[in-house]
Amino acid sequence: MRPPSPIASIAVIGAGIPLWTTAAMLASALQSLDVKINVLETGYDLSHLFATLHPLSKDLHDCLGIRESHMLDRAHGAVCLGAIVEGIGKSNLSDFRGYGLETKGIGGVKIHHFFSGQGSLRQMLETVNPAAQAGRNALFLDPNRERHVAAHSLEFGYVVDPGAYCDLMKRCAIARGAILRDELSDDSDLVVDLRPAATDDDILDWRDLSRLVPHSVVSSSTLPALDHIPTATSEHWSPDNLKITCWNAKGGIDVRLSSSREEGLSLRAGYLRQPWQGNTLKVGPAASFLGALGAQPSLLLIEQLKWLTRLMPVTADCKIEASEFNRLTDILFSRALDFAAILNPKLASDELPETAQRIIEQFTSRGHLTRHEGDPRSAGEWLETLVGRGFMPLAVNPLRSAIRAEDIDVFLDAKRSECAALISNMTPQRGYLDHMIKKNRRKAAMK
Amino acid sequence: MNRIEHVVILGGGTAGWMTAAGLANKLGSVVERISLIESDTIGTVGVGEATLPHIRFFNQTLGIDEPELMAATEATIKLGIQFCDWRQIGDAYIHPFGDYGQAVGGVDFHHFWTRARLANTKHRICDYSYPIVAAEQGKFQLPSTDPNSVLSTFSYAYQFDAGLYAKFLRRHSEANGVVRHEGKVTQFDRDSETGHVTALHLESGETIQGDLFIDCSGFRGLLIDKASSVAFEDWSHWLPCDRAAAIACESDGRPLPYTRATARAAGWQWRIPLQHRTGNGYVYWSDHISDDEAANTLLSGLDRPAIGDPKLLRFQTGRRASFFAGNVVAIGLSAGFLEPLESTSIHLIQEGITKLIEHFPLNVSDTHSRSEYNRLMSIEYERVRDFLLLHYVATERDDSAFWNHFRQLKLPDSLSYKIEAFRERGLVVAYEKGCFLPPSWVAVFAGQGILPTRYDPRADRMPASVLDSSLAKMRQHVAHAVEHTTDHLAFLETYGARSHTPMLSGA
Repeated sequence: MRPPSPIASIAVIGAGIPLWTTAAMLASALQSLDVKINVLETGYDLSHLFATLHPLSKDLHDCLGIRESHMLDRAHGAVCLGAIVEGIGKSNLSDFRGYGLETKGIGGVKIHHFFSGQGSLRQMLETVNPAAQAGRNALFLDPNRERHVAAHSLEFGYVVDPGAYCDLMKRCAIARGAILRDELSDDSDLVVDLRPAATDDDILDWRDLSRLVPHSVVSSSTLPALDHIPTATSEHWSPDNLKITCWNAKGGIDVRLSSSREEGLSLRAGYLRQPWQGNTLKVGPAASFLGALGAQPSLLLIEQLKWLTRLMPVTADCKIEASEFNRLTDILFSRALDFAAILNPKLASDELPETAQRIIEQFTSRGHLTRHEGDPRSAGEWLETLVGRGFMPLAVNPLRSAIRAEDIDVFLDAKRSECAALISNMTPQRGYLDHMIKKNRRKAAMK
Repeated sequence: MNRIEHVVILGGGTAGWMTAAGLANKLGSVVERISLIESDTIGTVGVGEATLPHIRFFNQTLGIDEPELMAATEATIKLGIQFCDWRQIGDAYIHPFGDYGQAVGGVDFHHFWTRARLANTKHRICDYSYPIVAAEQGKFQLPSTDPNSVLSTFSYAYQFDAGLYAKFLRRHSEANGVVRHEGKVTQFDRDSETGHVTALHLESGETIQGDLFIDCSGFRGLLIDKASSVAFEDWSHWLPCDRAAAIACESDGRPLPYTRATARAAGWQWRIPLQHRTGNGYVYWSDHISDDEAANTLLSGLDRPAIGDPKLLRFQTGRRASFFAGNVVAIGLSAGFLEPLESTSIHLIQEGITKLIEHFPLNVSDTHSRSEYNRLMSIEYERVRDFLLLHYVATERDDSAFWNHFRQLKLPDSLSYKIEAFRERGLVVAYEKGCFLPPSWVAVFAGQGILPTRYDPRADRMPASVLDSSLAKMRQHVAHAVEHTTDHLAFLETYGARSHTPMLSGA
């Protein structure tokens, strides 16, 4: 029997940000190896859904050797600390949901247990959350005090201009050897498909989740630039619609999701159970649509690309790589479904997946933040999500009673002061962006 | 709802006193009382004398001074476990508490090693592990906090006298308010409505009421089995060894910083060097060897004269269907038993305690804490089970009915998959939960002959000449660091961990 021959060519098919990000990652991972990355642009371009980049995109940029200043300059990017959400939860208050709330407390008790009886938990959490305060006031780090980023765990993603970011990724992919083709021959050893499957009603193996993630119609529009660039996206819920507005340095993007399927591009929520079959694997929009909140599309794409590079097959006989990719993806999509379904205010707890029910039960009964295997979201993201959705703990961790009230006060005062000090050193984000753009251009000129 | 005011621990020994110390430390002011019932007339099994590195964090949380603890428990350092004769008779490898080599560009080291191996470069993977080379040379020093140093790539545990550890923790616990009650439990009371245990009656006539009961009564599972009637999930079809003969022998005065597990015809034999003696035992499957034969094999395999006579233990591998049922939590042998091949007994006790503290119930009716505790502990036991079973099935031995049994065994799907993934592609199927991290799996896979036939293609990005020189440099770093590492015994001395009790003698 002849041993299977090594992979010599990979076809990457799709459009927009997902396509070129994937091509760039593959070309970078396989650079200097004798593997051709052939790219075919075709199908719907869902770039606007990928224009809010999850904080994990920083790892991706590092992998690709893209500096933050370069990305912000070329993709007209802006910093995004989270989202200001309205219309969800049990009250009409707006609520901040970010990426990096520090949940660590003292004595093994997480911070939110210390706010019991002190008023609204969501408001109290914001007093120790610099991202929330900065997000609400369109502030970000003073560029002349950049070191504050290192000193504080301020987690953030970005909002980019979809076309410009796509172009950046395309340049990156081509510089690393990817080749744009007009058509593809049939002899590719591996096919990476990014064409949105959620538009196809007949797709096999699709786990339909439109009951749990009901917003299935997506339309988008562009908005004029603002003088003051917000550092948070805004999400507005109404009974049948969800409108997400995010701002990059060049302008805004409005994405509207609706539960009616009458207009725009219809996306059916769900995911593929076995996205890698034979020598074809489906990634990003081809494998799932689990809502657009919390930078979900970007997060899922980046996670899948991370595994794809780690599981890059040696030969076209890639059964084990496919199994592992499918196992990891299934876990990832289950976690993403928990997140998306919990955010759906129309669902009763008992309609949710069992894992999501457990997350809610554990939180409401005793404030415990359950972590399921393979959850890419931080404890802080979960805390803000659950509180924002209106779930409140009925009891606090019993260990809290072992901590002296004075110690709790000292701890919280310190957190608030730290937060206030950080905020007082912030300026409108325009300053930060201008600084980064100048920095990038200086570097480019020096080269 | 009834708040938990009184926690009653049934049973001393390692599990009981670790639980008492852990709860007193974290819950001392949450509950009103913590009591422990034990009887001097009931011997303890002393579930293990070798530990995993995690125990250091447990002790640190308790504020225990490490050298003091080591001296008091006759502890030596453990850098890993040496497995002899597992793949084939005559083979040996060490499963270290640490990493191999260095990942490059996001590609794990073992892929580079595999590439070199497939190109006929014959260097042991062990030569890229500081803890292995240090263990082989009987050396030790504390890990470095400098992430660029090869000395930051390992951790360590202890080999100690578990009975002395229990005594040490007893002093610590009693100083922190735990009240010990001497005596045997003769019967228990239960609430007629909820079925919860409400009180334990001692032989002396004393009655101890409580809200939450921790069953550390060992294999008997006095509360989890008798009072709560929780079924035992039998895993002996996977891990069939059901007895152990244990005996101490004299120390040669130069204890090695690793434990040894030698495969035998019907099981395996441990050797755990402490400061004042060496612990030994033969874990076997009674279908394939008699108790007398096992004892003789054990005695004939000792390095030095025996101290006393072999002690026989019977057990069944498996775990409780629930670890936390009603108001009873099983910790230690009452919760389950997985043979001590990878020193997981004390670790599972520690996990039980840590998770109980993290999910300490709000009141006796708190079902949410219970279900989360059970879910998490089940994962721990299952992950350990797979890892232990790997040692038995990754073998070429066919010299006895015992080893032939494993060749035909139907494995848990989770383990079959892990083996296939590594063999096919050098892929370590990793999970977030569970105590054994990828380097441990690589150690046992590679040590027992499951070698990848392919590797991550990204490892080919490194030119062959660079690969050779990089690997040589990594080996040199390890060798150089070990050369400058102190002798194990000298370390114990300078660290203040040397015990001053005389060596035990068999004479």
